Amino acid sequence: METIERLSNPPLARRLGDAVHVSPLLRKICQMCGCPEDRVGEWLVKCAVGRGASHYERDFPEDLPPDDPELSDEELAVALCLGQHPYNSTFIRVAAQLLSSPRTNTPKLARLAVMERVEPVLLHIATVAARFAPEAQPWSYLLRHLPKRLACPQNALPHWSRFVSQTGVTSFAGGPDIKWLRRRELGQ
Amino acid sequence: MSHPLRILRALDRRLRLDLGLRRLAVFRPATIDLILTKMARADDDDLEDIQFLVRQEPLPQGRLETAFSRARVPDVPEIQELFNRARPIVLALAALDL
Repeated sequence: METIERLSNPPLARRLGDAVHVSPLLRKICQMCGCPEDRVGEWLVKCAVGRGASHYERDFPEDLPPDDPELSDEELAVALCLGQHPYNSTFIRVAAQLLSSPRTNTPKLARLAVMERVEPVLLHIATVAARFAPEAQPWSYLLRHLPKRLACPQNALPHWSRFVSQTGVTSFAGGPDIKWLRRRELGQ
Repeated sequence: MSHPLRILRALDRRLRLDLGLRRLAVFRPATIDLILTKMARADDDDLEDIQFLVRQEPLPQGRLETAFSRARVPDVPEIQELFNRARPIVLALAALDL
């Protein structure tokens, strides 16, 4: 049944209609942290939360290795968006908040995105950001500079409301107040 | 039904959670109301949640259809479209678990 298929969990690349790229970045990260491929996503989320993706704070298993400062923020975020992972909307949402910072090295991120074939994911986030935070970097830069390699199927990537915080719709105050989720910087 | 009456109905349906707290009463919305809220977006994550909910508390088709027709969907075209698109999917999910 279509409904059941929709709820299954193919690799992200397949959902997007792309070839599954075997990522050298992911291999490097697995070697770096010592996690097997089926746990590395959880480790990446833990590292991103520790670096400021605060909306996704949770308890992580105690046996996950600590963060490794050798891994740059840009590599960490791109690794979360890889098509090789089984689809997990949280990975993409965490990457979006982590990258939403003036500290992101935007040209480096764009280069890495092309190398690791995650341009469709970052362009999706950038398109949503353009609606709610049009000036926010790195998104406006990526919208202008990343190649539009692939037209993704509708609903293959997280809904816009997954990238923002918003108040409820009420009959008293009209529409909701919607805010783009930005990275919590050190000292905030 | 007016908006305040619908809120009162939803409050009547809420379920008390037994968290062992002496001075605090904690409630959650009824399963049917949780499903309605998730239908306002109904992405894959929401549908997984709905599937989990109907597994915990199987709901007859008639009850769901009545709830859909009575739901006060916000007057936002995108939400209305997503809600209406979710109706047959939620009915199919619920039918699997009856």
